[in-house]
Order: sequence, then structure tokens, then C-alpha cells
Amino acid sequence: MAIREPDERRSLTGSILKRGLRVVVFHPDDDDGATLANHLKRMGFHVEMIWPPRDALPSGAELVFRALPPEERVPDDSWLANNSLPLVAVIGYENPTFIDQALRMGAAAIITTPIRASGLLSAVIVALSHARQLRQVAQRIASLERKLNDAKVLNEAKTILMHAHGVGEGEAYAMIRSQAMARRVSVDDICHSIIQAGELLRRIGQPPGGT
Amino acid sequence: MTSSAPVKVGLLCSTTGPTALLEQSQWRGSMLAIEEINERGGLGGRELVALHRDPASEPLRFRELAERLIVEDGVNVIFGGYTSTSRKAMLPVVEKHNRLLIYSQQYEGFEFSDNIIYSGASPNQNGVPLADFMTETYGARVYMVGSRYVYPYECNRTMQELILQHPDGAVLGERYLPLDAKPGQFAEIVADIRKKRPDFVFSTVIGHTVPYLYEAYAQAGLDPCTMPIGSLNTSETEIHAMAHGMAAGHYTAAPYFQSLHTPENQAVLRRHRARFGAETPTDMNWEAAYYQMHMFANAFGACGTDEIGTLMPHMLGAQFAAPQGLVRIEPGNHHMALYPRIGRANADGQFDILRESTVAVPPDPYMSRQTLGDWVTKLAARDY
Repeated sequence: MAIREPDERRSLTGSILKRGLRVVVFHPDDDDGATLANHLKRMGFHVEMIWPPRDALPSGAELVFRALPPEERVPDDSWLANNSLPLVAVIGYENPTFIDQALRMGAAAIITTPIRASGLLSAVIVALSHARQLRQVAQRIASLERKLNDAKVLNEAKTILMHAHGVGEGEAYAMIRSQAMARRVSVDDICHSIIQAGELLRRIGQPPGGT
Repeated sequence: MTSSAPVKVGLLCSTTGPTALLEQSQWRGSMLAIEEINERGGLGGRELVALHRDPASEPLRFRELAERLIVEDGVNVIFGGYTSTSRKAMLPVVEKHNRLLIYSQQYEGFEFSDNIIYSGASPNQNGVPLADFMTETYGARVYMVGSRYVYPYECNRTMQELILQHPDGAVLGERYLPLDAKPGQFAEIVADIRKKRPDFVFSTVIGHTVPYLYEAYAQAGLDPCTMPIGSLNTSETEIHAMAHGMAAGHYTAAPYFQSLHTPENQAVLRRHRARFGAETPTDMNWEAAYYQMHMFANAFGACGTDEIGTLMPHMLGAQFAAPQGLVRIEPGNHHMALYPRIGRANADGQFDILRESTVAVPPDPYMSRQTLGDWVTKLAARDY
């Protein structure tokens, strides 16, 4: 599957803003929390403020903000790292301790307090765009892994047929293909059947008692 | 305003709460400098007046009082702040109103604001020399204990990075207690230290809980000769609050100790004793507050105003013959070039200086060029 190139003529930022995303904001109810929530609402997002952070995200959430308060040495948010939702960390001190912590939680962007309106939209767009790219890359990797595995299986099945019937590689592939078409199943399914059968025949040929 | 009107500056030093002890020391340093400045005729004939407020060691009070000093009292320059939390609380206020905050306290680094001068030590001036000294003298297996907030976290991260550059470097424990912890909680940590037997203990415990750690250590019968505590903030003032001799044999890295023999220090100590009594110690916070007030007065004298846009160019790059030596405000990052020193506390609550830098080491608040045994510090260091 090819990664779809974004349409250069349409604004990615504009299209994200138009969607009125549902945003969960894990932030204490203080000045910074209010500034953050107000500006997100101003930009058309649907905001849900929650503090302290919960173990599970509200359903329908599309973007998460998470404050890392200085008194929390190591927040227990391992679940966030496994979550595919884009995460923006909110840190009070821009030092390695808190930046590392945000990265460990899987943050796609980091903003610092005091919260200012400027910079917020950029962080949101970068986080969402990175999350989308990551998702696409993950899908592509999964698809390539599948193809790689299919090729391995096909090679194995061809080798079995070539040995069993004394045919060349092209002919072995033609046999597999015609079987698949006749039975209306995938080439991959036929290959698995051939490998299974080959395994069985080899065992039958061995003396009993062996494992 | 006539040219003879007093010049008012804000002074935010807590008289209550966990860090009041240290902030009162800052207050004494500031007030002594102000009195010296006024005795020699003030700021071009104008009296320098401190509007002192008590933030009660609470970051939010620092923020509110900074705002009130600026808006209601028309103050252009504020001196104060001990914890990083308090500095961080004031930062948006001075940035919003474009005023100057002078923060007279060493901290963990990683900050810059056009509206702040950071007049205490940067981590390369105390953390690096301490790691260097402790690892070569005692070993690189450390147990870290601190107060629960940003300064200890970041100091410990820095210390850990320095320690782990040693082949046998290890962090045997990392514990945090609240600023209002009780002595019993320290006893429990000291019991763990006793069990784990590190080469040394790195303390970033802050404020009025500092004595609890050293007292728990002594009560557990641990020996500073074999497993000392090293700190960046335990000063003469905290030791003064401990039972007699509790800190003896433990180490602190700082650019200033009361025991310094410089002529500047001896002269200012005489005035300090006359003003606050022979029993009242000075310390690194006191000295930073003291020289920074003088540096402000000198800059004001050069430009005739405390408006930040005009004043700042006269502060940046300025030098001053401070009690610790000739210090300088680094123009690029608003932190100080200072003299790293290693002191070992003696039975009288003073520090014997075991190592000191012969030149002012430039500040590196982002720790961008630091390794254990940093060569700038190392080449400039002299052992006693």
C-alpha cells in the first residue's frame, strides 16, 4: 500500500481545524489549564478537562494533552505510550528531566507553561500530522511484512512441488496458481496446504519412534 | 518624579515557611548592600529603598506579590526567590510587565529569560566539581536523596550522568521527601543508606528539612570519613540550625563560603557582624544577594535609571569584586561567571576549603559542554 501524498493544493492545517476534534486535556484547574482550554475552544476544538488523569480515555477522543506537574516524579502513564492517540505533553520546566519524561510517554509535541496562545496551534498540527504519518508507516510496515511472509511461503511450496514432481520453478508456480483458481482460494492458502502436506509426507517417510 | 526621589526595589524574602531560613539570609545580604550603598550617597543622591514583602515560601504568593509590587508600587526591579518553583511563578509576571527579576540563588539550570538575571551558581559550577571531587576521593556509587520538586530531580539527573561516566558508577538509591517532611522519614532513608553502603550520599534536600537528614545520619552512627554527604545547597545557615557538629566531615560545593580569606569577604564580614551579630552566619545565598544588589546599584549609577531596556546593557558583562572574587554577569545567558569551590564542614559549622578555582568559570546553564572532570574547571582548580 502506497502512502498517499497529501494534496498540495489543500491546507492540512485547515482540514484539521474544520474537523472540530475532540480533545482531552489532563491538566489541573489553574490559570494555565484555563488558558489552554480556552484557546483550544477558540480554535474550534471540543475540549474535555480532566484532573487527575484517568486510567482510560473517554471514547471518541482524538487528541490528548497531558500536564506533567513537577511534583510527579514518574507519572504512571504507561497506557498512554501504547495508545495510538497523538499526545501533547505540557511541562513546567524545559529541562532534560521533563522532556525525557514526555518522550517516554510517547509525546508527539511538547508545550511549556506559562501557556501562551501562540505556538499552540503549531504543536497541535505537528502532533496530529506526526501521528498520522506514524499510523501510515505502521500500516505500510505491516503490509510489507505480510508480503515478505507470503513470498517465503510461496518459495517453500514451489520447492516442495519441484522436488516431488521434478518440474522447474515456472511450472511449479503455474500448478499452484491453477489450483488456487480452481478452488477459488488464495495462492497463499494453497501454499500453506502444500507445505503442510509436504511436512506430513516427510514424517511418514521417517522410521517410527522418532520425534 | 524628581531626581531626589528614592529608588524603590522589590524584595521578596519569606519570613515563614520551609525556606524562610535561607530567604532571611538573602534578605540580610540585600539589606547590608543597600545600607552600604546609601551610606556612600545612594544612587546618584537618591536613596535606595527596599519594599520587603513576605511570600511565606509559597510560589503563588511570590507571583501575586511580584505583580502587586509592579502594578501598585511601581517597582521596576525585584530581588528574590529561593526555590525554582518560586522563580518560575514570577517569570510570567516580569515578562508580561517587562520588568527585571534578580534571582539570587544557585539552581539546576535549563532556563533563560530576557527579564531575569540568574546570580547564583549554574550546575557546571557546583554539580560538576562535586561529582569530580567525590568520585575521585570516595568512589562513584552514589545514593541520592532530595526534596520532592524540580531542583532535586534535575540535579540528580545531572549527577547520574556524571557518575555513570565512571566504569564502576552506580546509583544505589534515589529518594524524595516533601518540603515539610518529618525527621522520622529521614531516619527511614538513612536506614536504607546504611544497608546499601554507597561511596557517598548526594543530598538535594532543601530548606528546614536539611538538618533532619544530617541529624538522622549522625544518629544512625554513620561515618562521614567513609561515606560522606555531598550537597550543592547545604550552607553555613542550615548547619547553624543543626545540633552542634552534626555536619562535620560532610561536603558542599559552592562558589562562596563564610570562611574565605579574601579581603572583600573579611571586610564585609565585619560589617555583617556589627549589623546582625557575630552568631549569624553568612552563606552562598547571602553573598549572591549581596553582590547582586551592588551590581544593580553600579549599573543604575552608570545609566541613571532602573528601566530594564536602559539598565540591562549596563548589567550584562559587568564585573564586581565580590567576597568570593571578581564575578561577572555573562551577557549571552544572564548567568554568573563564578569560582567553584569544595568545602568540608568542620566542627564549628564553618567550611574548610579543599579545592577552589583560580579563575572565574563561565556559566553553562544548559550543560552543553560538561563531562566529569571538565577541563576548564580542572585546569583552574587548586587543591589544599
